[in-house]
Amino acid sequence: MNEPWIHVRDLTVRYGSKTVLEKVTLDVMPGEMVSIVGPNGGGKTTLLKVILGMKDFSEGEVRVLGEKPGHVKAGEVGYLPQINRHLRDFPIRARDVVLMGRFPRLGLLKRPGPADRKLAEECLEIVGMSDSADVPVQSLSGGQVQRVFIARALAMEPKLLILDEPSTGLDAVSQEDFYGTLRRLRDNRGISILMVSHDIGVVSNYVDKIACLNRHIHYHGPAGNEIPEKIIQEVFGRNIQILVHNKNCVTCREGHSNG
Amino acid sequence: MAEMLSFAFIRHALIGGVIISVVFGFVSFFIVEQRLSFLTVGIAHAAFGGVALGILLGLSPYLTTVVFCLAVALLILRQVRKNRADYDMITGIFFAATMALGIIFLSLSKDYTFDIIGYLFGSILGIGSSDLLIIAITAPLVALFFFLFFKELVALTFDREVAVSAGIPVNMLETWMIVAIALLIVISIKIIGIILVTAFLVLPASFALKYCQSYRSVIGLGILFSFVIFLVGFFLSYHFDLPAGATIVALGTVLYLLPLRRFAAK
Repeated sequence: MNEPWIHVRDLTVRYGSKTVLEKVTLDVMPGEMVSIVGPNGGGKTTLLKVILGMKDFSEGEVRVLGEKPGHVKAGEVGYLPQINRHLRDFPIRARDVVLMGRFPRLGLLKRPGPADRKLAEECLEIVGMSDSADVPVQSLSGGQVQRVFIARALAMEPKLLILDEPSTGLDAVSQEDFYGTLRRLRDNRGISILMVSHDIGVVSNYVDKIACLNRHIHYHGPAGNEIPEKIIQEVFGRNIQILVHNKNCVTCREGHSNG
Repeated sequence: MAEMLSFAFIRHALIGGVIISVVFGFVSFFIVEQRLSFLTVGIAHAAFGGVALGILLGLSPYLTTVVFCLAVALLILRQVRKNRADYDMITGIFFAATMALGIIFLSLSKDYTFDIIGYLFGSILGIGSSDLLIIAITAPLVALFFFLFFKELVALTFDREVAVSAGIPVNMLETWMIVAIALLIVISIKIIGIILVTAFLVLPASFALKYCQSYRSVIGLGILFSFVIFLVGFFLSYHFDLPAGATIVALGTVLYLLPLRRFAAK
């Protein structure tokens, strides 16, 4: 059996006296597409940042592509953070953003050449943004910017793609489209995808596995199965209304205020 | 004009100023986009403490200023990283602290002949051949750093988190970038002055950002802007007998405020 590309065992993260993640265990196998769902403040982004080597952790074991987090070879992990508004006054065309994806693999002191530009064009094509290649990113919509950023991550030719709430700013139709694109990438290139999402409904149609995270991993299983109601309550529980579009997940329900 | 250029100190100031203004125009983009304007204020004011220390110890103010400014710049960076704070807060602390130290050093040294105003607002007459030599060596080195690591610096300026996650040595580059900016500030203080130097670091890119749609053109126009305000400001100050640094900064600010967009090609 293959080694998992992301391997997290009994991970605990604390900020001061507050425990953000507790005994979290998660594996992502090569070519697997996994979504982490859970409420805000449940530690989803923290988990991604630990995996990316941007946050220290208190206890546990984390391996990414067989290495310690943050020690992975340049360009092997593509990352798409949550939409970042401050980028919007940076004057840059879409194609140049995508070309930035080549920088880590090129290494220091080397400039991108024609082959890198061609690859950047192809990545724009994959996300359906070729027509906007020369448009400054400031004038693109939120969803278009997300696509351009995905193209940048792809231009790295990563083995692993890590996405933090990639569907923010996309309408329902573009969401389906977007997850479809990710799924095709996975199918065609064999990359692993780990993403964080609010909407279990849409996501579960596309991913292989879902992990429900609220400090603990409450559930980690195939996406097609029905997630037990008890777990949904544990994860999303208190006063959080979840809208679900898919019968595989849960019925639309309101959480109980028993917290 | 010919009469003006016959003075050695004018030639020194002119050559030194042109070199510095071109490098300022280049670096300005990174300072503005990384929101480092206030950090440059802090580093420049640390020079006051550095100069005062030199006077107190009887050492060359250049030497103590370089050491003092680099130390403060690196200390700010360290505090920012350690406390996960932003530059704004930490610089606010060191800005005042280094000025306070400067005043303490001066009061201890009791050297009242020292030209404080010259350091605060620049004294273009004071540029000797050794100053010019220091500028001519250091400024190109600073520019070389930004040129060699241009693509990485653009990537980390655009999206720091993604640059870190992709394996670009962001912390190392950031440290060197701040060292380079501190050096650039130190060598330009004699010409432009502690208080005015930040305007020179912020104006070029701020001006260019109003008119350009790609970062390369912002840098290009920023260099041109910086070059033009220096030369025009310099000649105006000579002609009307005004302080050079102040004239250059005032001119740059007027240009920045002008609604030129109306005339700019779409």
